[in-house]
Amino acid sequence: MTAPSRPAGEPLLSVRGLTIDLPGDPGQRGLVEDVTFDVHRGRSLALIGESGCGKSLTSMAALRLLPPGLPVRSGSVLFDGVDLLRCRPRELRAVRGGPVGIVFQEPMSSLNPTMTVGDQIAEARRLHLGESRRAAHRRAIELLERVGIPNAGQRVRSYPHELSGGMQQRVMIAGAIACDPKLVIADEPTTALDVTIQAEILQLLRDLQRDMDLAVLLVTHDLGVVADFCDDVVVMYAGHVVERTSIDGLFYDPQHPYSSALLAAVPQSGSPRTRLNVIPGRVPPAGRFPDGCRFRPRCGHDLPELCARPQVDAELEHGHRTRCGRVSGGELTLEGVARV
Amino acid sequence: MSDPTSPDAATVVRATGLVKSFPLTRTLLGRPLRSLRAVDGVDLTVQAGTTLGLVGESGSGKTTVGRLIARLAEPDTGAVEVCGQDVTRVRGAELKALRARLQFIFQDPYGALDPTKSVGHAVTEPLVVHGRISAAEALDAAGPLLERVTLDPEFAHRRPDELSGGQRQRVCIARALALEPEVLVADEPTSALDLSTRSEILNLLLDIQQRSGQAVLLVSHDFATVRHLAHRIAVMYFGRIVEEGTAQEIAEDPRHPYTRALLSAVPVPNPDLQRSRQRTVLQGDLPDPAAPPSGCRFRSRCPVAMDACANDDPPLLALSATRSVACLRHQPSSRTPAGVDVAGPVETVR
Repeated sequence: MTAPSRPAGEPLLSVRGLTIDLPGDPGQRGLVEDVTFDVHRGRSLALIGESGCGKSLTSMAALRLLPPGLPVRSGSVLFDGVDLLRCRPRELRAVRGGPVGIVFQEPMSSLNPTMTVGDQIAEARRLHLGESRRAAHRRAIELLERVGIPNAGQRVRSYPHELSGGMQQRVMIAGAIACDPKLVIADEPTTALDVTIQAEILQLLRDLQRDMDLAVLLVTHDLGVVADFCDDVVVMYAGHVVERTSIDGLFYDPQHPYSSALLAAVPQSGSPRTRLNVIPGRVPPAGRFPDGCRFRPRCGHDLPELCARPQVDAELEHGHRTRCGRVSGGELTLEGVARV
Repeated sequence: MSDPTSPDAATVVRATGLVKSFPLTRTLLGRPLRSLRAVDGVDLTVQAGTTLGLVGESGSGKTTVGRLIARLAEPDTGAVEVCGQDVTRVRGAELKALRARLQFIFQDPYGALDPTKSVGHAVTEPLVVHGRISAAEALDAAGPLLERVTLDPEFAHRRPDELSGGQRQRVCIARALALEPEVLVADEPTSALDLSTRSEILNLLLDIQQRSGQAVLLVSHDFATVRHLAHRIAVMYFGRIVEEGTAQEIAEDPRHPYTRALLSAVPVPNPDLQRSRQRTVLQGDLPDPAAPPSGCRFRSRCPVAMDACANDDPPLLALSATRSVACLRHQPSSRTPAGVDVAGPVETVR
């Protein structure tokens, strides 16, 4: 399996200049600021970064699922030509759970405990496609089979608590793909699962992607999962997109000091019991982001006169973009993971 | 640092035949009716200055083994020796003395610290309880303890809620080290932490062992963490150790089909390797813990199971001086016909 070359043509999901305000912050340093990226048909894009960097906020904002009181100040989210941030509630409802499926991290808190899993999946078909109760029920069984649930004909009548964590996550995925979506947004879909179950779920998503030409937006903090599953990567730090590239670009040729520091913090199987890179400090709490480059206080390459200025998202070569002025200015070179 | 494979390294922890059941349902009088064997016959040893990594998935019993060895739970049968002393059923003053030699690091640094007490109180409490210092001396003692985990002594005055997850875990480690124990049992010490904080704690655990030479039992589901820290690795499935060997042997040449499947499922942060890897996706979830399959417990998910696996429960047998495997495919009396690919379809993962 090799990564397909960069696709031409219109992206399926296009996030442009997304900025989410922190209410009551006079500095107006957005919680998420000027976030721009594209997800293309049939490809998977990873949104990575530490906790508190705005990954989940960004993915939830794209579907207008932000908690009340967090206003989107500016930007647009175009899905198939429709701006999801500005469309009517009716149009939005038609998109959510229809052409855009959602998989959350915790299946137990996202599935309805009082409905059978079959009814939950069938409900999506009935609402979005207007199917009859009976046809939707039949389709729910097929979907449960599709996601590898044994005895789907019986399990369709199970309640979520009667299933294991891996099975619940499969039910979530069956619900997300119930209406033949073009895009699935998955927020840490395998983080709560054991690795052998994670491998099954990722394989399932890969199969679905191949069979349905599905695009996937995957929020994760696991660089192994990124290397395993994704084509493209968006690295976020403290509400900014700091780097956008392919997975090869990230792992072998990172172009932002934060990305390269993250890679160096991961244990490599070839060098056990060696010291790992530590990124000093931590992600600043919302509202206390520094001016200019937000990574500056933790960066080993900080030049005050350069880095305190606002950093521009610059393209280096075919689609590899960085938000580091020192790198795009050509005076700083970073190292990635050595190719094996 | 001693050589983990050398036989003359002092054995600090020795567990033999550990069995622990938990009742699932009880009769009216509280007698257990049906029970689950979380740990079913585990032997292990940890040498001074070395780390034994215990890996396995949820429900494999690895955490229970850690708790039995740390004497946070008592086994039904079996024995635990720490530094040559049988501590299986110690109580009272003897148990307190054991606490000075063996300490536990918990997974959740948020739940392990009393939010109403200062950090200084948390790290010095073991010293006060064991009468090494008086309560009045505690604040002075806190500084050096915090410095050992590279925290500013000023932190002694703060409360846990002012600290980040990584800092809290450092405080927990400082507290575990206060009594200079010879054994540390660490249960998922980094799983509640972020990527960059994890590397900080891994570095710290390495430094501490190199400086003070503790025997460490590291319990984790995260193979990358175990591979990074451990000298030896034991793999658990369903209450048993199915394979044990040096970290390199297990990582580079796993023999038990479960170890192979587990390693092939661990995604590595390297796209080239990830593309060229063969994967074995196991079928099905873990079987019902209260009713394990007959014979080999991994049989129901094993890609290379034979008929004999349903009848014989394979014991953990030595393959070499450093490695043991519990699999009929790897026993000296193996009924495997010549020419059958014992290795199965799983590629070795580095």
